[in-house]
Amino acid sequence: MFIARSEYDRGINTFSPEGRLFQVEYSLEAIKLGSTAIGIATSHGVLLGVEKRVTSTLLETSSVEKIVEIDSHIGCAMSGLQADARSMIEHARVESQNHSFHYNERLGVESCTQAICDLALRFGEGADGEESVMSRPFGVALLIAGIDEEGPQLYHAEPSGTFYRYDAKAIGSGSEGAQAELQNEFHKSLTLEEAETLVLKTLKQVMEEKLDSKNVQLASVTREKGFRIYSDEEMAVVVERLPTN
Amino acid sequence: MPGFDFSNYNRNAALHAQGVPLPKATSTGTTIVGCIFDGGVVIAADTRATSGPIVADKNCEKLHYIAPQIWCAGAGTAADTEFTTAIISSNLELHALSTGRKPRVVTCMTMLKQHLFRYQGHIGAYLVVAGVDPTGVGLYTVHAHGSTDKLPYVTMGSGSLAAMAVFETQWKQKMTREDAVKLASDAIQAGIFNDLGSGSNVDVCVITEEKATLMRNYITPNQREVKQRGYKFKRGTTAVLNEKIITREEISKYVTLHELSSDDDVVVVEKMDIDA
Amino acid sequence: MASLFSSNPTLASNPSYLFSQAPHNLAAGNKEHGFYPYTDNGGSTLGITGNDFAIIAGDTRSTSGYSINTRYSPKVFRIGGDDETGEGAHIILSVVGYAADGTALKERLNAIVKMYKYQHGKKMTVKACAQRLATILYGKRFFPYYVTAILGGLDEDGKGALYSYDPVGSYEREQCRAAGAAASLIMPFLDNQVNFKNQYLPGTGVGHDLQARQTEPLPLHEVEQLVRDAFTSATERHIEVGDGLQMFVVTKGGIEEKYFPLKRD
Repeated sequence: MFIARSEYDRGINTFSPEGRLFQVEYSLEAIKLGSTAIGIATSHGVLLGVEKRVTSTLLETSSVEKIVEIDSHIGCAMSGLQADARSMIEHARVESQNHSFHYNERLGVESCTQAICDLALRFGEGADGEESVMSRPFGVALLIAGIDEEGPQLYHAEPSGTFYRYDAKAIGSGSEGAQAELQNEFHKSLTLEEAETLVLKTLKQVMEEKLDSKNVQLASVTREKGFRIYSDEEMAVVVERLPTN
Repeated sequence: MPGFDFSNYNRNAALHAQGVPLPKATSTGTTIVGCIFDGGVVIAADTRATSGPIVADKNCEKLHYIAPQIWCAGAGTAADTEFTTAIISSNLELHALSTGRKPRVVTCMTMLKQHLFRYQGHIGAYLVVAGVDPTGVGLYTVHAHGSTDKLPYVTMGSGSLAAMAVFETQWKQKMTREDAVKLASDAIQAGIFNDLGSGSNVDVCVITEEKATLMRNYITPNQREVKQRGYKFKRGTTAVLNEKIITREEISKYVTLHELSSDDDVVVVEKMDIDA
Repeated sequence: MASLFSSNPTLASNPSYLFSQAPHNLAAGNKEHGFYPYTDNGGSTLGITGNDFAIIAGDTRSTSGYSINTRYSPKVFRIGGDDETGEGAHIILSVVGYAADGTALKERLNAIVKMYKYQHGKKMTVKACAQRLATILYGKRFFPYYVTAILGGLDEDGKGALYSYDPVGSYEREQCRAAGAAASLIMPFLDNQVNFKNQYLPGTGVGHDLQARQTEPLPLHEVEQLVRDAFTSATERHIEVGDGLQMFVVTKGGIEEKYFPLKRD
């Protein structure tokens, strides 16, 4: 797969003669190694679901944090290098707080996504040789779920700095299969409860481990309760509801 | 012992040192002018009195009588111009009586400057003295510290620069009475419209060998337009929290009551200007 | 609105005449060189809201000391318009006090409101703009924009919205507000005529039982009359107010500008 790409692999900000930025492309590969994350936008709210890879029976599963809050109305699921997501989320949180400080209103979901993507290409050296914060592109993709005056929204942000809005999106190692499943199952009149089932059902299909209430995590963003991570009890209820096969 | 009462001086100085502000005097931040012409002299003034940035009186009189044919335009502290001209007017009358001669403008000017100099500028009166006497036409300015000038055309007050600009461009020697009145009132209007301390109307006084003619509100270029709305309140709009009625019988124990038969019995001492 | 600067000696005993600002009371031979960054350019502004409109008006005179700088220097501006004319704006701002700071503040807010539209893809609400203006002002807490600002427009429900500020960003949504040189002359008039303060309903009781007249939203044409009367009256009694009255009316139909001459003395 990886044929000799020679010197153009190295330069972080160097285009190859074919017009490609290899390091950015490789960073997209890093996401494909990540755990699967799924997001579904319904008219009632947005649902996020991730698989937690429980690599050891000694692992405290609650310490695997793949869904985080950005603000009370925006949350995000990640796949890829989790450590990279830290700085992106920190940036988004600051941006959101700044916005409400300056404007006495919540930051829009798209604006939040844009703010995160603004970070994505700030690697390597600047044109004038000034110090840069990052030496390489991010190795993580995000599913950003939120609600604002435009309604519930789901965005997918990539290390390349591009983002798109989706009705339903899967990222990570099982994304191909999961996306196909979502394609078949998604419809506009999905309820939040149906979305819970769909997310877990889809995860179940692409996960290597057997799905239980400990190795998956759900979160939702609704108009009533804002962003909320499902508690262990709530997870158990949803998992219980899944059709067995 | 006549003169000023200084008994509160030390108390007030102590209060001021503790941060109590000094009382604000009404000043006639003003435009006043004077101009001689062939056969007489004309003086003119605006009619705005201010207290800081507030207009205290929209139609005050800044042309003061000194003697039948000597008039004075005053700028500066309203009370000082008022009292200084009144004192000098009295003293000039006594002087005329004791000498048996018509008072002279130069005499008036001299008395004013000596009075003002004695008070070292603390009496804030800035005056234009004008008149006709047996020696001829006189026109002077007197400053609060006691200095004087004798000139064919003069301006004083905060609008003096605006007014002087008019004189310097339009003044001619041996003008007619009409031209002089026009020039003086134009100079005042320059002050009215370009100096914030001056405003409202133009008062003019023309003095010739025969007589002095005061033309109060000679020009009124700043009439207020009619208001958009009426502001009459229904009777009873104001809450009455308590009332006390004093009967005729009760009050007559302390004062003497006279019956007034009709409105004709009421003597109007001075008519008051009221807005519509 | 907290008036933090009313005790400032240079602006409180206005007008701050130029000569009085020069260094004085110094020992002979010692000359103190000072920089006086602020001047008071006089004038007054006024804002009133109704059910479905907001009006902000200001006189057009600019002064320094006893002089008139110009008879036409607007104090009310459209904010967030598409071009220099302000076309397409939906927010209005008035600034009174130090004119240079007023211009700088208006330019800055205007740029921010425009940037907001580009960045967030929507018009800024008056509420958001109000908060943003407060943070701009507080951002210069120790070298303030020496202005009293009033912001106006329609809120999310289409109701008239008015926000008034002190120079360092303390703000409040109000029905009506007068600011600037003649604020102390105009505000009591507004209290009485807009909020019906000190007005009771005749015959509804005796003494303390008398019923206060309830406020009701005033129609646009009545408010316009009140604004004009407020300014002609302020012109009569305040030397720094006059020359022209500029009025901006915000309705759902857009922003309408009106001009009425005032006395020039």
